[in-house]
Amino acid sequence: MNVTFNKRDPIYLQVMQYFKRLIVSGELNLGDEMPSRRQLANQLKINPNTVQRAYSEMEEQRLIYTEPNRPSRVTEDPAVLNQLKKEWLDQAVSKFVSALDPIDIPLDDIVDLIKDKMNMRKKDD
Amino acid sequence: MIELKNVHKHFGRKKVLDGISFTANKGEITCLVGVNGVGKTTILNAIMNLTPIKKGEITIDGELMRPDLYNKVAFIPDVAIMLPNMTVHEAMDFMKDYYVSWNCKRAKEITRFFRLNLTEKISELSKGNQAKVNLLMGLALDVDYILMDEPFSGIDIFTREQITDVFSSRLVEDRGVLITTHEIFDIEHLIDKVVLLDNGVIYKEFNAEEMRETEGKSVVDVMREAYNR
Amino acid sequence: MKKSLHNFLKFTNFELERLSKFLFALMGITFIANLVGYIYTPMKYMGKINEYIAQNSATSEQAIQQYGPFSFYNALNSFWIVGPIALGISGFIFYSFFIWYREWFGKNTFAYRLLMLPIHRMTLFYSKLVVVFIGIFTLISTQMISLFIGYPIVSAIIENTYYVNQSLMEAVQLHPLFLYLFPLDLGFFLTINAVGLVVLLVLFTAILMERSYAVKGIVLGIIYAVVALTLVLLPLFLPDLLNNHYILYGSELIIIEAILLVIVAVLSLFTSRHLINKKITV
Repeated sequence: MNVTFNKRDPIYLQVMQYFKRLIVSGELNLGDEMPSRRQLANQLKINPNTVQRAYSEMEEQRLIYTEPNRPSRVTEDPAVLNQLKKEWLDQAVSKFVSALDPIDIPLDDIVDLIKDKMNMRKKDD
Repeated sequence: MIELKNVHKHFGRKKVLDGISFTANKGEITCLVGVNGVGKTTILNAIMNLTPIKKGEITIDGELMRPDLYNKVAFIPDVAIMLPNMTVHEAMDFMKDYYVSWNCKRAKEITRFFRLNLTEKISELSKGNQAKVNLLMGLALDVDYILMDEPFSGIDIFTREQITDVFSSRLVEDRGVLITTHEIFDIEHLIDKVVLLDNGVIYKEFNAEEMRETEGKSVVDVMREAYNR
Repeated sequence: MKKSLHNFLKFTNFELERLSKFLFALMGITFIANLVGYIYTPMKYMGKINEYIAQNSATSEQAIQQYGPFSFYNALNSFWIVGPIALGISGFIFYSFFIWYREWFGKNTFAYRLLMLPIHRMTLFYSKLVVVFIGIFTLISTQMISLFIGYPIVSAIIENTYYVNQSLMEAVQLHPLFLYLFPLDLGFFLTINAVGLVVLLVLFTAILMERSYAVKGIVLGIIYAVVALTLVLLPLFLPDLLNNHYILYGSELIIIEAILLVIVAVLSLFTSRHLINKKITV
């Protein structure tokens, strides 16, 4: 586990983003145990209060849940996962589209380019 | 909660602290940062009643400092404070003799964490290891508050990493930590609260995470503003 | 209360351990120098006597007339005995300063640790005071024991003809230095120690003034020491100053002295307590 945080965005948001990525990519499965707050703080070298904040927010968004006196776990609700994936995709595409803004290029060309890139990545894997 | 109320301190004619008020809370890491001038170390010394203040009041959980509160607040200065001819082991025994809050198990844990050789004399240790002995003497006390003065000064990067680890480890746990440093980079992600001192007064007091969230500024950004004023 | 006493004993023991090297060195020097004196001084005397007799084919009576007889007092009144005593006295004057200043100066600032111990800070003060006294008494005892060892050595070296048989007590009483050091006259001994204690209290107070107020404290400390000393010594010189030797009776003088000593002692203790609790700086 290694994350490089930038210094200007709230750390708790960066921690949430990190976990969202793990969940979306399947590295963390539904119902998996989350690291303890203290452990995570130590691993990421951040303040335990910040981890607490991130966990609370994720609980609120139902990405994780905590039963009393037990470690937190990733949600077991597939609907939440689907919602998260949708959000993730939506965010990525929005970012991509806004990055293309300065260039005038037909949609079909872009689709071709995307296809090429994705094939390349698959080959690399 | 450690609370300073309107604390004044002079060195001769020079005002070092000119009405300082702030709190350091339990369960939080508070960082005292100086834009310029002295005063950070003086604040820690004053909290521990190691130097008198001219005006104002300092309380620990509402009480004025008295001898038995040294079992509740530990101070780790940036100078070696155990006798040089003591071995690490003897230094630990000395602490055990006087402090009811000395935690032998934790002390052992820390010596392992820092890889300290117990039979070595303090005077024969490297500067980094002497700093670790200093930390050991403070961290092995089961206290509610820990004060640290420039824990990174003059220390190699590997020791520095180890000390940084301390802040997010069980060694600090739910204690209140008050630390002075000018090397904010090492611990920027670890601190809750920043108290920015400038010429004996508080320029700004803020929560680091809130600052990032509401103004999108890092701790260093705020410090830079203070410098460039 | 019990806890305070326990802390006091613990810390005194710790301070004694720190004193031990210095004390053992002084004890060693005293013993060795004395031993040299017990042997060398009478040997030298006998050498001179024998040389005189040989050169002038004189009788022992003539030799005694020339050099005088030898008593244990002669051995005592030599550099080998007086020297270590002078060294011991200056050593402990030095140590009375050193016992405080070593906590601030030197490689590590131990003052931080001491002032942050969860014990009353006056415990440090009392322990340091007691340790200086224990050191002084130990050294005095060493000197006393040494005399018992020296006595037979000297009498063995000096031939009977030249030896003035003098008891150890007589020899010791002849020497003014020992009147101050040994409990020969209990009243005087107690007075000397009471004065010594008060002087040490004043010195410690002055040191704490310097540690609290730096340069200003040095001035303050010196003024305090001079005033305290004047106060204590004034009655002793009062008759001379007023040119009236009948102004006070001896017993009155002692009572006044005692009261003044107590006043200065109590004042010093209160001042020290205030300084060490509220004003001292690492």
